[in-house]
Amino acid sequence: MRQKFSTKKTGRRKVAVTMIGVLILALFLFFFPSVISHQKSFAFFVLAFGALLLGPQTIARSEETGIKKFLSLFRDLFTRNPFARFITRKVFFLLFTLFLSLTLVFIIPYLMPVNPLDIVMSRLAARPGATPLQIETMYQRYNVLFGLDKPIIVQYGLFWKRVFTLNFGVSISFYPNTTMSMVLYALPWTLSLVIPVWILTFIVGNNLGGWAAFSKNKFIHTLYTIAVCLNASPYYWFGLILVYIFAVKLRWFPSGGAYNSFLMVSLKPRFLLNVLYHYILPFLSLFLTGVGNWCTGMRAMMIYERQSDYIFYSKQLGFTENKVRNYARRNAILPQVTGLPIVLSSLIGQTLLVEYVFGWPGLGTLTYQAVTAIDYPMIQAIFLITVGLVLFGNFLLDIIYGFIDPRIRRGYVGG
Amino acid sequence: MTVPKTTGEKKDKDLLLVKDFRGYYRGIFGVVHAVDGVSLQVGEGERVGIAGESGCGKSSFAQLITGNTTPLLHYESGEVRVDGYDIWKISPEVLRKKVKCELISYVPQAMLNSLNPVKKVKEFIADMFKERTGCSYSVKKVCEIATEHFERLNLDRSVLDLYPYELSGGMMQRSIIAISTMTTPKLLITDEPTSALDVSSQKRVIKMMIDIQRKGIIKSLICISHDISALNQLCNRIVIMYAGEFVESGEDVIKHPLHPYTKALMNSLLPLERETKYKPLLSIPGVVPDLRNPPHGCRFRDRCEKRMEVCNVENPPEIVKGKRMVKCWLYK
Amino acid sequence: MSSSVRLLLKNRKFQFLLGIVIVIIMLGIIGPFFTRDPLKIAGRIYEPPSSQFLLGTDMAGRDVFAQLCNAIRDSLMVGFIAGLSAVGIAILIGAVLAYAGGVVDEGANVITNVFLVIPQLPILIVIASLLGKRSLIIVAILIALFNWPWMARSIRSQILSLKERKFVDLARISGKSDFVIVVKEILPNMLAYIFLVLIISISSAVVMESSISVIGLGPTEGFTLGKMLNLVIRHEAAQQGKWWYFIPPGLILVIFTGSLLMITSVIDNVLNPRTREI
Repeated sequence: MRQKFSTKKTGRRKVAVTMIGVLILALFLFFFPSVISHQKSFAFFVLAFGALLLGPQTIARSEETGIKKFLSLFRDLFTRNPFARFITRKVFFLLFTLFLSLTLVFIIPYLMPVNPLDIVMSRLAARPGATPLQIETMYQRYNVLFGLDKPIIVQYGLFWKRVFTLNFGVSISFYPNTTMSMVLYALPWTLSLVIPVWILTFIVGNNLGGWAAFSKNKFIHTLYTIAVCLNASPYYWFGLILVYIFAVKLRWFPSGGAYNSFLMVSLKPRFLLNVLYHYILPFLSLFLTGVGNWCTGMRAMMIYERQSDYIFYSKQLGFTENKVRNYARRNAILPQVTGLPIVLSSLIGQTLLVEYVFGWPGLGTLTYQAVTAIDYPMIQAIFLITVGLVLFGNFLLDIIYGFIDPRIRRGYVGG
Repeated sequence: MTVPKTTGEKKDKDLLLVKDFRGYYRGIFGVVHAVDGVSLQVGEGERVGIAGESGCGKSSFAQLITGNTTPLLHYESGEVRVDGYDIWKISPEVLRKKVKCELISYVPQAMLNSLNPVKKVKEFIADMFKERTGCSYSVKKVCEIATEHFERLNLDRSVLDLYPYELSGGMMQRSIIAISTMTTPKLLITDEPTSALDVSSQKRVIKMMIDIQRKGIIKSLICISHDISALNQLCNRIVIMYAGEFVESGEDVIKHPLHPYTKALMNSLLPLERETKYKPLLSIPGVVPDLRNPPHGCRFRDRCEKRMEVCNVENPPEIVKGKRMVKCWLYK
Repeated sequence: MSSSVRLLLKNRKFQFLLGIVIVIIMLGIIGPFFTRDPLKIAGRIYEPPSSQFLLGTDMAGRDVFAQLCNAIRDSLMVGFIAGLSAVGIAILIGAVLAYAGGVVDEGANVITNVFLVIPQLPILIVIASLLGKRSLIIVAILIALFNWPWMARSIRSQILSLKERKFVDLARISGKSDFVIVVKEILPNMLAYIFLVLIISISSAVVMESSISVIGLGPTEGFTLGKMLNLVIRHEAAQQGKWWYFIPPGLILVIFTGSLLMITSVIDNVLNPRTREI
């Protein structure tokens, strides 16, 4: 007797969509610190996450009541339902990886021959107008915040407290703003580049690759070759080329920045349009170089799928060419989806550089400023946000892949 | 060079008419004469079996008569008419619509991955209905039709809700035969339906194929196999194939083999009779000729104990006596 | 095996691509001896290319072509050192894991997964920003440290599949130790594969080095293609339209990595009998 994930198929889908929607809403709240503080946003996020884990199970087991239900939820989470087991495994992986990478970031300065705080302070001291008293108070404050005079275990604990309360102190480079606020201000700018590029290169690249596999159309083949060639070029250098051609020579687009300096940041259409105008070149330099990546993979997968048994049989039955191509595509895209997390993490790195080239006010430019000023707390904060983003994206993708590949859904272990 | 496009002229009452047909593999390895001048007639209500060793060209023949060949296999010459349509001369669209969707169903060999892995069986059947007959039914209605059809063939209806990887080998084979016949094609061609199965599954598959034909779901059946005992149970006419040619055909080929090859083949089988318990198993000495350079004369001559002078020189003609056909100089 | 090497060398595509790669490497090795000192001011500011200055001058009047040759040399040095050491570590760890099996293998698998998922560039940035003085070698080692996990994984799976083969069993029965088996039996059979991995490793190391140099976190001594691009961006050469300054470094990167990648696909085609065209 097979365990079903929930009693009704439509019910399950509705619940999943609601949960993921709540999760994304929780992420959204981070961007409005004036409305709801970071700590509360974070708490809400964790709650939404827990609900995602336990929610569908609750619905499935609506017969039992009270404590029994609660206990049986946990029992099921670890034993029975293959899909629940799958999600649990992924959650643990996510938490473990987060833990490991943050610990790594924490440990590294202590492995270095030089004390980062000294560097920071010496930089600060070199600034004009810094009185010895100011330096001393900053030093003391950082000492307290980072606990540098205490044993390393306590520092580790303080580190985690900083992580959970999202408090990285007052920024050195952007005094008097806090580090976290600067990072969270820059984050939406970066995301506005990363997420559309990520999704669009996937869609366009896979379609191009799929067509190039079997079409005799010359146009498609030239597009494909161009995409693959562009893929080999450094994306930030390609950005320079775009700037040269379109901004300098043709004067169609601006050469940098995200908006004209005399405009105020707001949600008015005039501002948004201006931002869009500045957005196109950085977007194109990431998009055009990223497409080729998917093309080659998809083309290979389509050629592979075309030779498979089920395509042969479907053609035998008299399926139209369109339908057969559909089948092949549907199967070929599964391995491609597993490439999405890897592309996400490399895309974040790429976007950082492209932002630097274009002066786009996202995490990339912030990183550059933090690096030249050796603002270590800022670097840590950026790293925390970046890694969190990537790992969370990975996790979401793993879950989505579980939904679209029926073999995983039914507990097929071989995958 | 215009190719004549024949459309639906029912000249003969035969469901399948193959006349002097040739199909070769062409590649850098040379030219392999896989199917070299075969003729076959299958009328309505017949169950024909094609038997032979591995490599004699049975699967190539099956691919060639359904019009769905692997890339290296090419049509050379001859005629293949399915219900009047010459499949190698009509346009691909007519081939697809008329022949593949309505007339023939071909169940390929050992294709345990024949169903789309990401779709449930019932969803695949719904797709098949839409493609083959143009009617788009809802999944629920498809389930009803499929259940009725499956139950008629003694198949468990639970298969419909599963994904292909969840089916066992026997279930898969029978489901595929059921799916192939759901839109009532006239001719069903199965290639090695029993080879990948255990004995009890084999029996069920054979019984299913007999049922399908007797109940009128299909009109005729061609079964290609190297398993002579299975063919014996299933078919009412058997054709023996060797090195790309049909060497014998008829209704009692197994009981009264005429061609030396058929005789040797029957002797090498293992019957379950008490007297034969101590008889040695005979095998046929020699090897199948290399079809890149088919020998002149009879292709079986190097392994035949009744070889004559003329066998080395000329290829024997097909000698027809009533319903029997033999391709051997011995019967001239 | 030498017959397949000969087959490879006869392939026109391979010859062409190898030629390109060799030209670039030669530019890097011989170039610096024949060009002017890249740091000396030799001409006027931002002179376009002429017979005197092959690629013109930069914002201070220095010879761009000389800079390019030196940059190629240093970039390639970092790339080769990083690539070779990454592959070396990968082979070592891959072999050890393939033979260890059990909990060690599982645990290492999980850790490799973790390393793969953490975004590489940000962590490189974090580490590089902490090191005061970064010599070319240290940068190379840093890059190698981040490249070996995925290589170790694929090498490990190759070794695992070879381990099951009969000739390894024979060697084992005749009493050879595991270490000898790996070195004498398994590795020679994997040479083509290792060579492919090496090429990919070198090309990705060169790209990675240029990525961290552009931000300013590259080697503090020496002069690489990435550092050149860093100067380009800092002084907004592209925005000012000085194409002879910002196009060449990136172009060399594109051609180099592109050729290397195409070489891998040619090698794959030629040496893998199944994909050879019929």
